[in-house]
Parts: sequence; structure tokens; C-alpha cells
Amino acid sequence: MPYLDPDILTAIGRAGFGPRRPVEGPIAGQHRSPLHGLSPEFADFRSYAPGDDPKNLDWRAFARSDRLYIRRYEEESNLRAYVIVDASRSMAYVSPDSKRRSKFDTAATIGVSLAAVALRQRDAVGLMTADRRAETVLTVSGANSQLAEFDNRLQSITPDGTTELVAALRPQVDQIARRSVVILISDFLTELDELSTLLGQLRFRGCELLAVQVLDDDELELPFQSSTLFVDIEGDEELFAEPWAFREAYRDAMADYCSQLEGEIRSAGYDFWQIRTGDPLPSALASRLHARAAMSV
Amino acid sequence: MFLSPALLGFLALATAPIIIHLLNRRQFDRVEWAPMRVLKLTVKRNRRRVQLEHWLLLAIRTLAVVALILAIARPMSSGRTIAGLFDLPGRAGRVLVLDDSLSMGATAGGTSPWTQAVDAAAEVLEQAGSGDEVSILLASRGEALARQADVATAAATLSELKSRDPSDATIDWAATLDRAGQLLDNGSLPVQNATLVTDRQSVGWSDAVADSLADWGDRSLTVVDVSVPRGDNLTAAGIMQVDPIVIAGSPALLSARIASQRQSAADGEQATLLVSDREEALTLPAVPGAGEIRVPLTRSFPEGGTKRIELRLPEDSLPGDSRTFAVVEVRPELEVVLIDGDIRPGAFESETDFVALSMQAGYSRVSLSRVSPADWALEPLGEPDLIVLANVADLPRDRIKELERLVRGGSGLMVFPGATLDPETTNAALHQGGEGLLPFAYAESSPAEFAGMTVAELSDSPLSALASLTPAAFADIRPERIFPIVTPEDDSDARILARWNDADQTPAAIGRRFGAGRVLQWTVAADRDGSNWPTQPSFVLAMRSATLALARQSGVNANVVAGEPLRLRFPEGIRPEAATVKRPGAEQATDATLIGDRTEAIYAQTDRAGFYEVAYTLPNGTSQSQLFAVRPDDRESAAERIGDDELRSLAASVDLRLIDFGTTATGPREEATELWPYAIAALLTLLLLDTALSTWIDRRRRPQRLPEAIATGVTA
Repeated sequence: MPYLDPDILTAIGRAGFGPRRPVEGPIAGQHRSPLHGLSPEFADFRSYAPGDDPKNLDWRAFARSDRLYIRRYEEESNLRAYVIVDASRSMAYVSPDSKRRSKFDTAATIGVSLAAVALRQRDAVGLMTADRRAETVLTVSGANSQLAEFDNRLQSITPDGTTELVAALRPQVDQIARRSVVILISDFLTELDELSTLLGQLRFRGCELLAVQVLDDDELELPFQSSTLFVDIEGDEELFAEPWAFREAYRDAMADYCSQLEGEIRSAGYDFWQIRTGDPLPSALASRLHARAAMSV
Repeated sequence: MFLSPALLGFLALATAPIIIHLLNRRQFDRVEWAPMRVLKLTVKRNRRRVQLEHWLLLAIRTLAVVALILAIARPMSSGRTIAGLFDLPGRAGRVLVLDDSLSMGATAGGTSPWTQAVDAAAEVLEQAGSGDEVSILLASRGEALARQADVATAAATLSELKSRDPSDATIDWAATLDRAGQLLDNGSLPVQNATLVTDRQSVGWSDAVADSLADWGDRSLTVVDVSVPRGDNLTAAGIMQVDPIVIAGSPALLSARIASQRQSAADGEQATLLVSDREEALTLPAVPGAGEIRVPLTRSFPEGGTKRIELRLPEDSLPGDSRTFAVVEVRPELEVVLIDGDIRPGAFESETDFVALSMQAGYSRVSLSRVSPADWALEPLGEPDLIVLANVADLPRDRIKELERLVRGGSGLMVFPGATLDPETTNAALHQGGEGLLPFAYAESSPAEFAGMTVAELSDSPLSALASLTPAAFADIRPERIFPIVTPEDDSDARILARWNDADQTPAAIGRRFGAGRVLQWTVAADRDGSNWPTQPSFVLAMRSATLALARQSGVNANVVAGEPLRLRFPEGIRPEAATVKRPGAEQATDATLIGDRTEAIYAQTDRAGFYEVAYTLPNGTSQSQLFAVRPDDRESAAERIGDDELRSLAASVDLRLIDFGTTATGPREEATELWPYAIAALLTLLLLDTALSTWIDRRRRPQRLPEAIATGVTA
């Protein structure tokens, strides 16, 4: 299982992965649910109505007030997480001068790691890929074998095709269960004109989104020293340039782009991570999960 | 000019930065890239700046290579290259004056000042700014070959001068600078410069130059010295006609003047004399070093007319003065009228018998006619060359007027007193209180009791032939009676040519000019009654000499020096519509200028030595011509340069720059300033610029760490 890294699991195991809002799961779990249920956590009172189970009557309250009240308890549910990994050709980028893993490998590792944490919490996890179109690779399940299957399916994927992330996902939003968590792992190097529409759709369905942008260091720093012919990795376009001549301008432009992306996602109330292929994943993921957990409290 | 011009070939290396740049563009890495949209946008926004940086860097590196090559080729700034000569600000009006005097044709080592002058002028034009106005003035002719022309046109004009020879004249620099000043006056540009390209021959530089330059103001004057070392030179300085008049069939005495600028004597040089195009070899006598000789040439011309004479010396370092030209006017005959107041039938009894004999001895073409005063009263004299009045007592008024008209028109007059002469009557007729023909009035005759006569050594004296005789030749002259003269105190134009050996040194012969003619007044009778002199040889010589001196001259100065104008006065009453001049070697005639209400033709462009023919047409359609000989100006022969100090003194009122175009012998390279330090300075500056610009560009080449927030991706 090359994408399942014990070091990462060790690092992020304690942090866990929780939603930042109530979720609806098929079974009871560790996460708050918008429904009231049987958990020992008291929620509130309501007046008795015929048909209510008499065991929920609060007799003490009746003794004090001579009125019948029903005690209500919070429902705790597991979560359904959809891990969507960008499998377009751009994710296959590997720096020519370094031994860093590809963006897809990084994305897959992140996906597997988060899935492992969720499954350990008895949450249900599913896997989708997206390039020109989105495709469900693994249906949502909390089975013990789900993690192995998850890893196997990712290993079998070869990044190819153009990235049309938003256009590919929008039709698939209805397939995603309400109040679930969507973990979208991509380089987001695509047209993002309709990103806000996608975010709106997810909000309508009560879903929570964690956008993870995976970029290679090269793509942020443009470190090349010699004249370079840049060939579009997803097309035929070519551009001859001397990178040092406008490295600063490129870095500024790239930073602007990432900043815009993050701003749009965060303004919709969702979480956004940017992870570089050169980052040490155990610490990078752990720090981000801890930060997330702190925000949720 | 470059000391190592061959190294300029390495200027091709200046293309190296461009080639390296192009080669670098062929070596590149290929990267499959995802953020193409961001990359394209960045490149599009920064393309112009990047291209500017590239071209700037390329230009600096190319110029650096050029500066390096120029430095090692060792450029020179000197009088020879005239680099920096025109460092005047802005556009300038320039006059380029080329000295084309005779001395400019001197040859040495395969070059000449003239050749150097054309090269120097071309170099001057190369240095001139593209917007300058250039006039080119040929000094000998005062002729502007180009007026306010652009540099390209001036250069084209200059190139035509290469095949032209310098003139045979000298230069009047004052007049030439006046002309240059006029050309500058006609220009419109504020900065003005005149450049004289000359061998700095001293002839022609006079104090008048300072006057010419006095009002030049801010104009600058540059004198470029193009002289070459002069070798040995022998000069044909001229051919003179010794006798005032040459008569056909009679021996004519000519004299050739040969001058030497050599250090040692020249002996046995072979010359060629051409008389009327007939060539004769002539072996010259020894010519002393730095001296001159006169070679007598006696030639006889059987026919009258104008004769061409040319003397050619072996060609030497100054070919222009190795030839000289002259024309000789040969009279077919000489017409003399003897008005004899005492004609007698016996031999040597008449008053003018001895005079007639003296004039005709050896001169077959002297036509003598003897008339008595009575005959003369009946018939005018015509137009004789010489009139002799001897012992004429009474002169009618109209005859006096006729005499005055003839003498004023050029005829000569010789007056002898005699036994019948009444001083009072004669003085009233011929002296007229100083207004008449006679220089002095006669006094009453007196017996002479002395012997001998002294002849004054005067130039242009009718008795000059007698001056070479010893006093003994005149010791036996014993006058019987002389007619002293009354000498006025203020008389100025009469000259006493000979005196008697009496106590008072009584004048024996007096001469004066009257109009175009000359008068010779004797104080002794022409026959034996007056003295024993007519029987002596010196009398014959005196009469022959006086005849040739007094006889009517042609009135035309047909022998001039190059640069002097030709002047031809037309005969009385003739006013032609036009006159033309045929220059030496010219196919076509050019127009002469008519002046004085068409009474005279003048032609000033006598810059070439040789024979000039001035022609005009009479009212009846007959063509007339006059031949002139123009000889080279031998003042140019001696190599005498004007010094720097003298030049600076003459040009004290202007900004004067002296440039030595020089020759190999003068060592222009030693006098030059090398410019390589400036090229090195330019190179260093360019390298500094290159370093600064490269550093500025390369600071973007080095990858820098991203801001921490971007690098870690940790966001709030």
C-alpha cells in the first residue's frame, strides 16, 4: 500500500478528522448530528405530546412544575466523506531536477491518509476522480476493507486528460449525500469561473468542503536556470522563455492566483489547504488537522 | 588613421555577442508545464521589458568588443590625420582653400604637395559634419569650385581635382583670404572656418593678409601644411629681349635667365630652345649653386611677326619652372623720317648724313626718308616710327601739332640743334614753357673748348649701349659749339642721359616721355660742323641704340608672368563686340572681358604658363589676334617657407590652428596623439555598465525563497 504511510497515520492519528458542522451519517458515530437521538448528552426540554415515549418524561420537572416535559438528547452520527482526487494530466507533473513525488502521488497520499483517519473513526469514506468528468471509483463505506480498496483504486489510476474540475463535478453534486464532507484534492490549475456555483451547490446540500491544493515547488518558484521551452502538459501549446527574466513577476502572478482561489473558497465558509509536493506530509497534514480541530471546538 | 590598421579586421568579432546570443537561443530545456495560463500572462506582460534588457546588454557587449579592437588598432589624432580638426560645435560653414601655386607641383618620393593637398582636403571633408556647408576655393584663380555645397557634393568636386595639375602662378594670399571671407559671408551658419591647404611657400604672404583677416571676428583659420622636401631644382626664369625692337633680318639679342637652387654648380646641362616651334639643342654654361646666369641668345628672324620662343630645361624636382615662354615682336621694317634743315648734295654735307649712315649700317630693313622743312610743310609725315629733327629753324604751327600727335601716339623724336636754330623760336615751338615736346629749352649757342662726354648709367636709357663703353671711347669728342639748355628747377620727368666734360657738366643729351612716345634732345649738331663725334664709332652706336629705343613700340605687354592679366588695347577707333582667348593646350576659346567702353580686352585667368592668343573681329569682319607669352612665376622656385611665428603674427586677429599634414620624413606618427586611452576608457565604462546591468538582470535569475506563508501553505 504505497500511498498509506504509517508515519503520516501516526502523525495525524491523534488529531483525527472531524467536520466543522453537524453531519448526517447512517450510523451513530462521533460527530454531532442535526438530529436528536439517544446519546447521553442532554439537549433540551419540550412539552409532552401524546404518542411520546413515557420513558423520556422528566419526572422531576413534573414534580416541580406539575407539567409534563420530555427530555431530549443529542444525536451523534458518523460522517460520510467523499474524497475527490484530480486525476488530470497536470497532476502528473514531476520536477525534472528533483526527486519529489508527483502532484498526483501527493494528492493520493493525502487522500488515503485522510480516509484512514476517517475510517478509524468509523466514518464512511468514498472515492471519486475528476478530470474531464467526475467518476465514482469507490462508493461510500465504512467497511474494514475500504481502506485497502481505497489505496488499490488510487494506485490503478494514471493521471491523464485535461482538467475541467468544476464542470466535471457540478453534475455529480446531486450524487453526494446531504450533510457529508467533500475533500477535493487538486492543483486547481484550471478555469475556475464557475467555482462559486459549485460551492453554492455544496452549501445547498449542506455539505462541507475541504479544498486541498497540491502544487509542485517548481510551479510556485519557477526555478529554471536555462532557456526553457514550456510545453502545455495538457495541450499542444508551447512557449519559449528565459525564466530568470520574469521569475519575480511569475511568482507574484502565481501567488495572486492562489490567493484568489483561497479567498473564494474561504469566503464560502470552507477550509482551504495548500500543500507542496516538497512538504513533509506527516507534519504538514498534522498541523493542518490540529488547526482544523481547534477551529471546530 | 590607425597605427595597426590590419587589426581593424577583427572588428568582425563585434558580432560575437550577437552570435552567442543566437546560439544560446538554440540550446534550451523542455519542460511539460501545468500553469501555462499564468506563465503566458506573465510573459506577455513582461515581454517588452525583457527585450529591452536583452538588446541593451547586447549593444553594450558589442560596443565593448568594438572599443577593444579600436584600442589595439591604436587610433591616432594628429596633424596628419586631422582627426579632431573640426571639433567646432554644431553645423558649420567651411571654406576649403587649396593652394595650387607652382611650388605645389614639386615632386619628392612619388608624391607632391598638390597630391597631399587633395588627400588632406578629402580628409578634412571626412571630418566635417554631415550638415556642414562647404565651399572649395582654388587659390590661383580665385575661383570657387563649390559654393555652400553639402559635404558629398564637395567631396565629388574635390575628387575631380586629383587629375588636375597645380598652376604656374603664385598666390596672393590677401586677395585669396578676401575671397574666402566673401564666401563665408554668403553662408548662413554661425560657426565658420576657413582651411588653407598649402605648402606654406613664403611668396604671397604679405602684411595685407593681416588687413584681410582683421574683420573676421569669430571665424577660425586653419593652415594645413602639405609641403614635401624639395630636391635639386634648376629654373628657367625667363627670356628677355635685350634690344627694345627686333627688326626682321637683323640679329636680335635675347637673354635667357637660368637660376639654380642647387647646392653645387650645374655644368653642361642640356636644354632645348624652341624658336617659332623650331627645336634647337642648347648646352648651358655652368650655373653656380644657389646663383643664376644669363645666357645670351642671338637669333635672326627673316620675317616680321610675333615669334614664339620657349626654353625647356631638363625636368627636375619642380617641373613647373623648368620651362619658360616668351614672344618677340619682329618688325618687318623700321620707318625713320629725317627732317633735315640743311640738305646739301655732297656726301656727308647734309645735316643728317652721319645719322642716316649710323642707322642703316647693318640694318637693311630701316627705311629712311629725308625731307626738308619746306617739303614737310607740304605733306604730312604719315606714321613713322622715328622722326629726327636736325637743324630745323622754323616750325609751322600745324607741323608742331602733327609732331605732338605723332609722338604722343608712340613715335620717337630726336632733336639736334644746328647753325640755323634760333633758340627763342625753337623753344616757343617745341618747349612751350615745359608743355611742349622738348624737355628743356635751348639757350644761345656757345663755343666749346673741351673734349669728352660722359654717359649716365640709367635704366631704360636710349643710350644704354654707350654705358658699357670705356670713357676713352668718348675722350676724343670735341664739340665746336654746343647749345646749352635752361634747366628748370622743378622739372621731374626729364633725365639727363649724357653730359659734356666741361666745367659745368653741361647736359649733352636729355630724354623724356611724351605720351606714348619718347623724345631725345641733343645739345650738339648732328653734322661735323657741330663736333667731330659723327665721325667716331661711338656716334654710330649712340644713333643705333637711340633709334631702337625711341622707335614706336607695339604698346602691348605681350610677356607676362602667370597670374598677371593679359591686356590688349584695341587700335584707335576699334571697339569690337567680343574678344576671345585661346589658352595653352585648349581646344576651345574662352571669352575675355571688355573694359573701358570696349577699348580694351582683359583676361585674368593666366594660371597656366604658355602661349595665349587673344582674338577679336574688326568691323569689316577681319579677325585680328595678339599672341601673349605667360611664363611661370619663378618666385615660387626657391623653397622659402613662411614660419609659424610670422603666420601667427599675420593671423593674430583670428583663431589660428597650424596643422602639419606632413610626410614620412617629417614623422607624423611621432607628432601624433594616440587615442587608445580613450578607447580603453570607453571599454572600461562599457564593461562597468555591462556588469551593473547583468547584476541587475541576474538578481532575478537566482531563485529566491518564497514568502513563508506561500511556502508552507499554512493559512488561517
